[in-house]
Amino acid sequence: MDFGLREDQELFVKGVRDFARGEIVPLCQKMDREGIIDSALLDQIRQQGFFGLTFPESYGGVGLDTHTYGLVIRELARADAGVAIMISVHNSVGSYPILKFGSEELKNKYLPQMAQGKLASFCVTEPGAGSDAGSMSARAEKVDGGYRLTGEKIWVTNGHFAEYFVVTARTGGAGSKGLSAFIVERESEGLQIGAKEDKMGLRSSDAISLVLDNAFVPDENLIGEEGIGFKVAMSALDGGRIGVAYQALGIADACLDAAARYSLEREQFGKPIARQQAIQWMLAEGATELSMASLLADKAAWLKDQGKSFGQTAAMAKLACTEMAGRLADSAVQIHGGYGYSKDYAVERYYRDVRVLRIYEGTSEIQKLVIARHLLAEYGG
Amino acid sequence: MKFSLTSEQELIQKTAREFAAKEIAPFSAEWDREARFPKDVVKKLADLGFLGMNVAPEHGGAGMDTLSYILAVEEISRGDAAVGVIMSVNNSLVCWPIDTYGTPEQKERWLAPLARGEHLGAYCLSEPQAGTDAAAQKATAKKTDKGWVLNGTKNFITNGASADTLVVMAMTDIEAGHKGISAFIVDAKASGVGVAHTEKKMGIRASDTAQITLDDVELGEDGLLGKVGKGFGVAMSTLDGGRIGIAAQALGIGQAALDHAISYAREREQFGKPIGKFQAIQFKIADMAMRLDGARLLTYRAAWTKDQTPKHSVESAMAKYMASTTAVFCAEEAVQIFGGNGYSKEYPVEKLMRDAKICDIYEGTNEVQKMVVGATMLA
Repeated sequence: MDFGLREDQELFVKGVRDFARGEIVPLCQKMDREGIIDSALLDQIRQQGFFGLTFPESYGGVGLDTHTYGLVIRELARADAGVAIMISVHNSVGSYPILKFGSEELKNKYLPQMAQGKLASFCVTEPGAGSDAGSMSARAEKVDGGYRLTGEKIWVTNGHFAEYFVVTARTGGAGSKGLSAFIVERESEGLQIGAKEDKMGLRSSDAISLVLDNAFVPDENLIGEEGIGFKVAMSALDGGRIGVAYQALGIADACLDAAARYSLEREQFGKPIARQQAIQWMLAEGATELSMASLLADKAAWLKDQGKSFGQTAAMAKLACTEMAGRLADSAVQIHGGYGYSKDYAVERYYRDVRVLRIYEGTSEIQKLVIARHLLAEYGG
Repeated sequence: MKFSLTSEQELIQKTAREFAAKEIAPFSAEWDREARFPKDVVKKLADLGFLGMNVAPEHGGAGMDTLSYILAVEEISRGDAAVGVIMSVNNSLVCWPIDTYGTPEQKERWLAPLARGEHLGAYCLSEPQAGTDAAAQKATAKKTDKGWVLNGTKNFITNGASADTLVVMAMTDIEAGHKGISAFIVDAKASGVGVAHTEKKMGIRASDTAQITLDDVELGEDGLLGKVGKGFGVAMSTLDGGRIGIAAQALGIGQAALDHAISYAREREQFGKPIGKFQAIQFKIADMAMRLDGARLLTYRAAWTKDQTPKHSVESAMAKYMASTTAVFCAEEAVQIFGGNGYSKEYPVEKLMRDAKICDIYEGTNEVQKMVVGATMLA
């Protein structure tokens, strides 16, 4: 085993950290208040190549390995978890289906544009299909030269800006085997983009709902073949979960950092509260949990980079990191006391931002089902 | 980063796993019932080279890296945690400080027989009133013409009644606090060394835990380990390593709990189907597995860090704290999954719950581990 980082990883991450501190952190409060990413920042992110992080160099991307990419998401999330998820969704679930399952033609058509910053999104969830994703009711009807898609998708991250939508819809019978995945362009007739959700947190990231009303999609925009839509979605989510795990780590880093700094400055009973064991232990427990969870994320990323099976470890990483980050955000608010409840301090935002991580890209409960299913199978069923 | 084992490490892990399954697990309940120290098994551990794993071959050891040793403790503890701690104490708390702080002559005389497993070692730091506050030592070491005379009482000494060699902390300057502590190597057969009693314990009952009395024990000049007044540093750096061993022991207990829980969940039927088909049970299993994998990574990271740098206190403290908490959690959940059967000595999990609890306490309580982590963060 080797628990060290490569020099190139450290350098890359340092560059991202400097960018995040210099360019993102000053805008966090404003973006949170306004409920949208700063447009100049979005341009900068595009120019800096963040939307091509995981794309192979042959498609104009940066070609980062999963582990380094994860470390980048962590740094971004440490500054602003909404900006991090925008970049993460684009680099994982929004594009991976094409990269992994798409035809060469589809890859050549879309990946270079995506890598340059035309945003991608992922549309699986429906009003009636959340955790039970296999029960989705959006339909894709075969017509001459393509398909006509009808249905409603919700919680589409990046949808407000996206040019491309990976959409799963039913081409066959009931159940997960009747699903197929498509790439739908924003300008498609019959695609209606709804309003942005007004969310508790992660407000610099947008989430929209959309309606497909007989929207035409040409044959060549079917990803892979008919009937593999559920597999496409699930394998995209396996990777996406690693991104969310690193996003959680970044929020947790920020919480621990804020809590430790505050505890050294804030005096009560004639000394910094950091001198009280009650505070020290919250910090020590937080730091230990953070280390443990981050090793699970690093292991999941490493397994993916090795081409090994990583679904179970990714589920563990997502579960461990997001639950841990929730606890750390709570402790950080507690250590700040009344100030932790005020928008003058960043921990108030971390506390709101972190809550959705236990919900999206598979709730904590779904992660547990995935883990248990793998384990029971290892022991024979 | 890299999360794979070397082929040598895999071999050690496999050897230890098979040995534990064949030579330890089948007898574990009996040793526990009778509180019997498994002498024969300790002899076999010596034959495997497991009692001096990190000691160089020229001093009788196996010359392996820390992670190999940790993998072995984990697998042995999966068979019986008491055997795991016998092994961990000899390797981490006795061989290591002699190897690190001893003179060539001390290594030749004391370390080689310990590493070969001809002798067994014990580590004597705790006293009746000096537990977590380890610096509050009352044992004394007075300088004489020929060497040293030791007096005092040492508490909760693992391997105490079975040991041949003791590493002992004592005050050479009672006014100087922790700077007045020095470390010594004592022959357990020396005149004045006595076993006051062995403890009757809740768990790890196959390991002997004794109170050792030192009554005018005379040592030569060469009885001093390291420098005068530097014993507290010897003790703490030794525990930094020992904690990784305890973490590994805890992982073994936790893994045994998970193994039993999954097997039972697949067999036990209620409401017309195996209880493993219920989400309530699946979620417990998922939580156990996730925490265990996480604690395992923290433990392996601590082992790896120890081979990179002597500054691994935080990594060790995190590993020990999280692995022991996880072992207790897994053992309790296993008992819960077993229901009434989990409370019965007919089944293996009640013993795991009793065994696990000590990991929260010894080689520094988890509260001490948090002090280590917290203090380092805020420094």
